[in-house]
Amino acid sequence: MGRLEDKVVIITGAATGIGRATAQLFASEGAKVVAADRNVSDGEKTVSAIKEAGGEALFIDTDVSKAAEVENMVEQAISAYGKLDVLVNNAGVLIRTSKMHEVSELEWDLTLNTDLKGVFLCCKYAVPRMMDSGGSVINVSSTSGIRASLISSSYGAAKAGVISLTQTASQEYAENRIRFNTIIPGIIDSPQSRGSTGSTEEFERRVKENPAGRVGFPEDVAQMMLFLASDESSYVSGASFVIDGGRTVGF
Amino acid sequence: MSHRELRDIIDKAVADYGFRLAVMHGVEDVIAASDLSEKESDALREVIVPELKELPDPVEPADRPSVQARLADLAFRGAG
Repeated sequence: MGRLEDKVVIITGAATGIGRATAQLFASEGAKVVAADRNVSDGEKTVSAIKEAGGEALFIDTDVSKAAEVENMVEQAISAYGKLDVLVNNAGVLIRTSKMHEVSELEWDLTLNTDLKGVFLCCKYAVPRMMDSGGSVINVSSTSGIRASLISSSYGAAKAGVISLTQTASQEYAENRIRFNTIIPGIIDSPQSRGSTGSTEEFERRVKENPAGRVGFPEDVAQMMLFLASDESSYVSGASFVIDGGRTVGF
Repeated sequence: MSHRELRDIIDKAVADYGFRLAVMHGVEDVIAASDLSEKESDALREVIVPELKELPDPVEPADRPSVQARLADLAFRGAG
């Protein structure tokens, strides 16, 4: 019996990196996975990989910054599996920016719309489906959300907002037995992380700086997701979990 | 025409993976927030987005100028 046997899970940003690893791990633990992303080709690959391994999954083309698409994502999940137990708000975009006075409105909006408004919209439409039966919501922030973000003020602001949103929601829906927690990854070997560091040389330099002596992998984050999604964490809510090999506290 | 804004979008999309993702998977949002002409919008949508999907992650700093110039040339031919 898997740790998520028969739980229905929505994972946004499931096409690559942390989202894909989480989707595959959850499915291997018995969850029915709704993989959402606006990257259709890679999102479908995630679902194919799950099915080939004997799991159950469904892909839904979703831009989390669009209310109608999020509402459709939740409706399709309910229509396919009849309930919703876990929501993982993982979709995000990191756009490197210059200093604040040089950040364009477009860069700001693209980041905040996906990274913060997207979390709000997914909660807005998914939480009502959990209010009678309880559930777990896992929001993905970043170490950029707990200290100065030198590569993107908009990303740091959005990820700090995710932590606040999570804490507030944990209080608002405690009586409904819906738990809200935040995961705070550091540098992870994912397409987003490699791309956002700007060059392979810079990525390798950041890896060497890590006290763990290695970069994190999407699977490292997925394991914490699994704990928070499962009933093993039934007394854990409103909390934040840094997964960075010890890098942040070393500053 | 200078196509300055289109060039800026191309340059940023080549240099920055996150912005590239935003253009690749949300090009209509980028167009809506810009002052691109209809032809420039078509060039971005139909010529540049497919090219962006083929780029490595990341485009290394030394390679960026040539990639940016190549994509700009393709786009400007389409945009007139």
